[in-house]
Amino acid sequence: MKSVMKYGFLAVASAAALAANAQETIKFGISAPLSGAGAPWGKGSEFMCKAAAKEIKDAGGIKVKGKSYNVECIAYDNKYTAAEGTKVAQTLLNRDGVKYMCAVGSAPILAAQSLTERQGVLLFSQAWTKSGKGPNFPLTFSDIVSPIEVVPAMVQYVTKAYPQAKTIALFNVDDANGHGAEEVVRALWEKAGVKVLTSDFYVHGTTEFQPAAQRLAALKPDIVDLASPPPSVVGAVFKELAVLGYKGIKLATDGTAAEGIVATGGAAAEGIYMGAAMTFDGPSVTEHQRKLNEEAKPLIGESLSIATNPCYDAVYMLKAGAEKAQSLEPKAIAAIMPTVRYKSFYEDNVGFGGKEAYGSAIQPMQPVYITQIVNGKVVERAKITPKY
Amino acid sequence: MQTALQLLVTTLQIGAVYILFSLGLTLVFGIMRVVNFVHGHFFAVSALMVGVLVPKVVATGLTIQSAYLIAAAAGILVSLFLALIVYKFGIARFLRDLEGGFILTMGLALVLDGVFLESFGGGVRSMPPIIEGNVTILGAVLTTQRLVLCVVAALLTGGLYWALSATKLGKALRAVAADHEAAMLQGIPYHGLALIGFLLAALMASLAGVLIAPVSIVTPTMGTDYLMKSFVAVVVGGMGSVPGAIVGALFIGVIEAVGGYFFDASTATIAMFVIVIFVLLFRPRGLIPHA
Repeated sequence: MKSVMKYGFLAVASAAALAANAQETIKFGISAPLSGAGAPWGKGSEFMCKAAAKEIKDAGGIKVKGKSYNVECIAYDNKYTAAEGTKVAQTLLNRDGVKYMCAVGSAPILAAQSLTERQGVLLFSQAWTKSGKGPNFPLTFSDIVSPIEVVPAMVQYVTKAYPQAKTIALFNVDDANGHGAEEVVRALWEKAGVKVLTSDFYVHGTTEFQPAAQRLAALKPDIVDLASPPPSVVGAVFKELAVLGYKGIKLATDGTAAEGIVATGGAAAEGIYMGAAMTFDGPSVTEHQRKLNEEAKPLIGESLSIATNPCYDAVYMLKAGAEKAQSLEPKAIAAIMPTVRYKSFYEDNVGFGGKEAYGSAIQPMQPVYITQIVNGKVVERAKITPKY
Repeated sequence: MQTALQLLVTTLQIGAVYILFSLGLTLVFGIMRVVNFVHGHFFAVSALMVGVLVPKVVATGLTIQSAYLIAAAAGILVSLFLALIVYKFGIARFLRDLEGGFILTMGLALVLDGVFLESFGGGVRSMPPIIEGNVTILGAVLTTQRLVLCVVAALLTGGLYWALSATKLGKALRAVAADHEAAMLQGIPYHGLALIGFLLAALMASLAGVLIAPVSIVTPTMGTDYLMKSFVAVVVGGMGSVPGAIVGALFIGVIEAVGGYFFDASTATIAMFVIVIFVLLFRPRGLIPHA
């Protein structure tokens, strides 16, 4: 009798423990380039989403009305194009039934947005542009700093460090990302008194950058800024420029990591300034950042960067919004989102701002890092938190 | 003058790889009447193998040049093996069936896209330079590596052209391309030759792949980018025409180099496709039509 009671008690206790631990799952979609030159950003985004989901699970999940929810990250390859971005969004929304998603690449983001806003899905946008953000898109929140925040910091740093630089040549990718970046970059350099000699574009899929480099080198600019191309293209262009004897200031405003640039640029990558990379060596780096970076590097082929981290922040934005709203309804979360503070990969307790620039408070107030490739590694030159 | 020379050198460099790529594409169309969308994968797999194997072989202590040769040989073998499978289990059933071949190769290309992504990952493969240094030719600067690429590509193109013009096999291939029924009536074994032609085309693509790997951005999707432009080259030159493919490939090289210099890379790409439209309107069989 005693043993029956003992086992009965154990069974009841186990059932209670199981019930307490039973957590429902929230599907979180990712539309990101998992192939091609932008693959490190997409793979990094998937890795970071899963990292945030695991951390949240370990900490007891997202708590809404007495229930706990875990996050499941579902990623598809948008190939960095609008057409694939539409397909991915359709799959995520209509087949997988996601109510929250993050997306990488301006063109696929804009493609997805036409569905997310209409179908009441919360979209965390990694668009490197201003378009698709603001009061006309109430369910869209930025999860990354964009040229609006990065370029002023870069211009400020370079003009101070190289006051003799008077001319610049710009080279961008011919998509929504590139055009959005070019608009901001050109205006700010001109405002700083630096003459823009040319502003060229290339289409995705271009594999031969020698003619483009020849054109840029012939103009003899003091600065060459590759404001939006992915790291492999940045490396390839600067490599060709080096062959042609270019020795000016090298910028990759959208440069995210040394590894990708060095992979194609080799020695020509030395000295490039980047606006979207971060270092994992300095004293200001946290143990958490270092640990995630070490785990991510073998999987994505380069260090974590501003371009890989947004989906991590997006999951924490969702957690903070859902817990504050005590609702999983995307519209309820969106309504309260501008007032929440969330745990970012960069700093704890980050909030939203940007009403002046974007029309509504949808922009995370993250720091901007100006870094430089020195001996193949990223060295921090400045850390600037934008004022909104 | 120096700019013109630099543009000429750039044209030849770009054109050399497109020639190798386009020759295979036009050969398959000429002999089999198949628009081969898998052609880019024969190219990509050899480049990827080079990207994967060179660092591994170098790690064993061999020189970078030896590692490259070993990796290139492995890449070509893998590419040819893939071509053999594609031919035996696919193309052989759709010889001279334009629509069937179109759908088959399009489907196979999608399958192989997925297989490559799973096998090689989506990221960019990095490779140290095989040959260091630059050379200056009459004021035009280029890397020694690119010069070697250009020379090897030119030699291979010349070799293939000679083989197709002067050897018994080449003549048989050309006869089959011109009129396969008449050729068969003369005792030429069409099916056997089709396989040889397909493998020869894959060999051209894989050679282009191993040559471009050290100087380009190597990813599993790189074949698609070259395929698009090589289609333009083949259409401009004339589908199925060997001299047409060479002229078309050089034409692409000129547009990329000269258009990219005087306008920008994006405008040059658009110009390429606009010119194809005009060629199709006024010379629908291409500049040097297939016999």
